[in-house]
Amino acid sequence: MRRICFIILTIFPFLLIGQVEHVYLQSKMDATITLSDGHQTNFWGYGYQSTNPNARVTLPAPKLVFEKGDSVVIHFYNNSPEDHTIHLHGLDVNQVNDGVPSTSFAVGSQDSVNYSFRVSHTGTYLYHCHVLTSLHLTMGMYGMIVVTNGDDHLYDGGPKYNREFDYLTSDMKRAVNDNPLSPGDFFHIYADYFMLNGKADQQIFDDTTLSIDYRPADTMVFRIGNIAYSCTKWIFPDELDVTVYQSDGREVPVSFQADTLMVYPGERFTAIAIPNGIFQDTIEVEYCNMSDGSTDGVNKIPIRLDPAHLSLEETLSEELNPLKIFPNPAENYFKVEVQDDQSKLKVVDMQGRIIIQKSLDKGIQTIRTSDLESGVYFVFLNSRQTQLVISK
Amino acid sequence: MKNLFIAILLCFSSISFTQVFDTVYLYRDTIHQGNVILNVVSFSPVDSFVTTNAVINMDAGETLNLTVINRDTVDHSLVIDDYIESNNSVAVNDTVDFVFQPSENGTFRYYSGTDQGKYLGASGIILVGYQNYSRFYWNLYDHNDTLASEFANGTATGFPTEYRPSVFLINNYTFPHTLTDTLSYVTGNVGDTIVIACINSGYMPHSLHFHGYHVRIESVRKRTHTLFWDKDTYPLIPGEAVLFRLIPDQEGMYPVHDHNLITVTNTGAYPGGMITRLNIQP
Repeated sequence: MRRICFIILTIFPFLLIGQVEHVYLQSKMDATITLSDGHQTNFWGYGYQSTNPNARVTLPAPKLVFEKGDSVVIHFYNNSPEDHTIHLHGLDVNQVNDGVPSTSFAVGSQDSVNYSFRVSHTGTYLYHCHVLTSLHLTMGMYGMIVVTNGDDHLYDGGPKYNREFDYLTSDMKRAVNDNPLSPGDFFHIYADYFMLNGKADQQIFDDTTLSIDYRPADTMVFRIGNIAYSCTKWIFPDELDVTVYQSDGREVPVSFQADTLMVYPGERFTAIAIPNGIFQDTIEVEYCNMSDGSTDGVNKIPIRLDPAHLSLEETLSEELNPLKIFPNPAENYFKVEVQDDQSKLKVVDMQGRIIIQKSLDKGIQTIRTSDLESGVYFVFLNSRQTQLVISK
Repeated sequence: MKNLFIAILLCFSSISFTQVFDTVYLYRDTIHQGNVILNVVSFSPVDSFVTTNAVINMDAGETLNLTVINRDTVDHSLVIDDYIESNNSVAVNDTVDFVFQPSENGTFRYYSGTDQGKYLGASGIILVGYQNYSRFYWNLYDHNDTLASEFANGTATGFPTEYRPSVFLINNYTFPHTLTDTLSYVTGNVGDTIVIACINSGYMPHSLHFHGYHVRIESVRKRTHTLFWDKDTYPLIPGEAVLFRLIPDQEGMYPVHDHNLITVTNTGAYPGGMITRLNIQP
């Protein structure tokens, strides 16, 4: 039966249309990971195939990136002693490529198969093993799939972005990973270790692909997926305007601003994040127990202005105290509350040029901006600062 | 002219106030499915215990006159969120009539608002409208088998802060028994319009994942911001009532299951619990 499935699957590439992307993955069950507290435990996972017999699998599995319209063939080699599959979560593939042993087929030890499908919608997706899923997921057999529009838009007619951050939340029950041969009852899998792209706690702060050094004009796309047993609650700082455009690879009918976002197991969201000031903060990710709602874990993603981008005379203080101005966006003037006499105010453009420089006395002061062109500026008042938008 | 006007009025009033009548009976019993043994109270459509809570169908614009007859050993009440509050009582062996006049189509949930009712699964689906479509019904339920037993025999001291469910059901069936339940096992053809009325009668959210297809959220009672979203994974919080619309664009057999993977087990055994299937023919 397995051979028949293999033959059927190998026929499918001939039906593929458009650009064909080939991905070569393998699964292994002999990997270890060092957790944020130094504890070392086991995981099972996927990695790229390699002629190097010592090639490792990763937690999470490699992120797969395709363009809308691509035809894809995943060449999968099960380099492990037990059955595995690849379920393409959310891509609506046909039954034979669905990766479910009972309705598709399992891939036996040392067997190879091809999964063939076409990606028809941009968005955020997942892939994971669907064999004994309750165990194989906590052991680490999952990854993210991103389908782009092939340009700098989220989708045709959608918003543009210039930077992207992809976050996959997951969790594990350490006792199961420590001893997967005696996992206990599966309904007792309550996670006690919580990850963001396989990292936790300080590891996230130390990972430059996870922490965010934003530039003032950045429009960032956040692709968020949750493969955990927990639901995740994302709490964004006030200085970050986050607008959700997609969920599960489809545009939501009405995009919406979110200061918090709940992402339940298996769900994905795609959002655009734009800084509305200069700030240093964190995005909090709470991991909520699905059974009783308790918060079992928290991870934080640091976000700050990219220090390399500050070519200004001033440097930002470590203790940021945002300056409040109004109106903002402004046209011909803005007002600012000055707390001390002889305060130094500067308005600086995106190239770091000082456009306005004044000494101000205590009180509400009006700053004329009639000569400023539309755009984004920085306003500094002594050690405090904020971003000013001039709109004419 | 005057008579014609009156006739039109009468005609409209008869459309707006069409009365339908239904009766449900409260019974308690124990479900035995494989290694699952669970005490439940159920609204039965007949005067004896039936595993699945009664499904009530209404056309758009109809008014439901629902008679509740209590054959259980404790008092109950009847609640429909936003329509019938819990300040009523259906005493043991009593019969009480309720009126439900929905202002919109879609899925609604009726349930007993008493502790015994809430904690033992007396909760069912009302589907308003969509009667011309191919219809299926998923009543999601979770419980801890030991805790349910304690509620049933009166020794439970309340719902625990640290809830650890062990049994996960659709229409009070666990997988693979769900595959023989014609209410939940979805069958159809490519191009059909299929509607699935789904409620969460349990105590925890259930994040349903559809293989093979995205579904449209046609109606939703609680997380209303998700109306008309197209989803392959949709979380139903406790008490939620949703109508999924599925128009299959490919044939095949695909699972649907909660993606919180403790729930696809039967008291710890995999696979089990909250899994059903879509069987779509060409």
